[in-house]
Amino acid sequence: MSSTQRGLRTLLGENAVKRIRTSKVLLVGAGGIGCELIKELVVAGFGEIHLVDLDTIDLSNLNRQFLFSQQHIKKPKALVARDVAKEFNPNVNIVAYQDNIMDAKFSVKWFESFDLVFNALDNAQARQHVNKMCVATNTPLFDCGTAGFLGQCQVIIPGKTECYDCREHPAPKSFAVCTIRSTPSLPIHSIVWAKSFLFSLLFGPPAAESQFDETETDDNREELEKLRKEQNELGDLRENLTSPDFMNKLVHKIFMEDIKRLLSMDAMWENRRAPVPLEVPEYSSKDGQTLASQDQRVWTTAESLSVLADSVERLVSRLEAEKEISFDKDDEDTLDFVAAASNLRSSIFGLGLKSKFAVKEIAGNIIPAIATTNAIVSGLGVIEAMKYLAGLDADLRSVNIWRSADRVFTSEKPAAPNPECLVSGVARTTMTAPADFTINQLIEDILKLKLGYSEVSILSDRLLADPDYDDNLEKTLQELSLHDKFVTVIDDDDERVNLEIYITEGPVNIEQVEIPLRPNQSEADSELLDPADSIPPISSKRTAQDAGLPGTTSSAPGQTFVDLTEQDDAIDLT
Amino acid sequence: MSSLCLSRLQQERKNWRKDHPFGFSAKPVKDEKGGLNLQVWQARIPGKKGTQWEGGVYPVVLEFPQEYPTRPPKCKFDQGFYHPNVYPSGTVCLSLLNESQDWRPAITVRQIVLGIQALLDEPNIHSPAQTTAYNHYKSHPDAYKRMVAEQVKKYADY
Repeated sequence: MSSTQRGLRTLLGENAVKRIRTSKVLLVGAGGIGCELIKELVVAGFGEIHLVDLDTIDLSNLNRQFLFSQQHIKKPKALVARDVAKEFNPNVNIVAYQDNIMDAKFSVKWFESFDLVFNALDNAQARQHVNKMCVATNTPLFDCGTAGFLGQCQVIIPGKTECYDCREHPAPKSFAVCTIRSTPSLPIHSIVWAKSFLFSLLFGPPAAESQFDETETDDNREELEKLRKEQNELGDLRENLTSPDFMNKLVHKIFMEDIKRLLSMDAMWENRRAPVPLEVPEYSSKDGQTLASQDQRVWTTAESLSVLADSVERLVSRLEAEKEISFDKDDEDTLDFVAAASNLRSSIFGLGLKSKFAVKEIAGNIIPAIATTNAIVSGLGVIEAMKYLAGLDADLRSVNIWRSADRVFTSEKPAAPNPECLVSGVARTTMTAPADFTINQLIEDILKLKLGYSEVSILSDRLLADPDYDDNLEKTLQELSLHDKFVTVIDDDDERVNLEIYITEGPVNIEQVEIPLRPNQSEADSELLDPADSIPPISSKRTAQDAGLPGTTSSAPGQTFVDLTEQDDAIDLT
Repeated sequence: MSSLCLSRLQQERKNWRKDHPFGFSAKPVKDEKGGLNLQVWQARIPGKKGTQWEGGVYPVVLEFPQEYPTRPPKCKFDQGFYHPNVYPSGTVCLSLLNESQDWRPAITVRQIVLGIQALLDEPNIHSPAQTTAYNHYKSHPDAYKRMVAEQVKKYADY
């Protein structure tokens, strides 16, 4: 037994150490936090660890993902992490998957087989998915996340504490199309324009065919022609990408003609600073490559034009082989284009200029990751998991890390589930039904007859049926591929909470379920209910008190949740 | 899809089903898997009575992002729609639909389509999105009238 494990035995007792050793845990993510977590799990003696990550190792990971080194670049993270971590403790059984955790093969049944789950993810979508699977299978989840100096470990005990979706998480900001296309007022607006509008129009997937209606009369022909021209000019540019004159045409159109057109709509500039069309100085693409490497200083207009011309040449020469190119912050050709074009636009609109390095950070939505924060958060996650396995439910805490001189950590007792939450605040059941079972049978035989619904809407990742939409009534579970999936039943009268049914194939059978009233309904109606009434009482829902978790109060600063989302502002700006 | 987004859209659908403004329609579009895609709605917005837009019913597509209702939907007329605040691509430029301006998560589909209906006859000349309609509106009211009338005719059959 290692000294770590001897210490654990002293601290938590023999039983807890045994539970740790015999536990089967799932770790989702083998990146910055995942690498730290698996190291600690292995050293602490967790018996069986399943590790899922879709990614491969990149050079830029090596400054903080310490299980990986130069020779591992381009290899799958999950598999390399398994091999390296195993050397710390050969007794541990590590199963690695190079897969997306949202893949259907990671079914409810598979999730059910774990004693607990760790999230070490960088995006909200996967987090929400794992959260939902954990709540549906009653599996504790320890969700770790960091953003620079900030970090957080949320403890989620389904049915007893709130889940990831019980609180709202801030979404990354988006910009309106008018701000980006016509009235930028911040450097980031120019960067989004260069990346999501100009770059994708020139090098991205080809736009759909023009859908202009051809029913024109003599009266409106000229005007429609103008509108069509406004829409199509960029498409025309795209057709001319290989012409020797392309760079001149591009600069003339984008930085002069388009700006003059905006200026012609004079009302727009009554209360705004008007843009000034670019005066094009002498420049040459042959300086571009050298200038592009000077990424820490702001380029002059002539320098930006040189970099733009050079990057356009590089991108155009790639187009033959690649058909289309998408922006990637680590793809120098695309980054040079966006850095140069955005700065030219910023100078036209009198906005601040940025170095290529700064543009990379903004265009790539880079949040600096700090290895120390990752390590601390992983440690917190493992400590909370050990408390859980030792049966110390009352001591469980969700912990936040702050960049603060007087208080780095704040911890709070996990709050009770939010009754309005769409993951925690719903009723759940399972049912079996054969492939040829129809939606109509589900509604009539099960929901109305067995569960006492009157009108319902049925939802999976799409709307399947509601009182005004009956196209699918005769379709079968197989036709709609609903087996091994959740469907949501929504009471059309808003009285009951939503019901989530997990359907598997088999003879028709549904597991008994109590469907509580909606929280606002139950307050209003609870006094009127006869205790013998068939509507189940809401007290059947488990609360924090039942779980031995004290109160729902939390200390003030602990409310903020960190969301580390490498979100792309992939907005369509046409 | 985020459960919050989906459930809110389902609620919007239910509210619309049970009650919506006269002459309007709005419905999620069919998806290829058999079902309705709640993230894309096809709406038809009638021109307001007593305005020069009366008589036309204008199709608008509402595209809801994953982050809805934190983020607003994108609303599009047909490509080439004639209006000062509509981009040549059909995208509507309206402060109600701008996250940095008037968008609030509580705004309903009903309020959105009513807002777009109001915009038809009350363009905002400070946020023009196409030069053609803007220049007519500002300097050639006769041409503007004629073009709007043409467009009413074009959409009268719906």
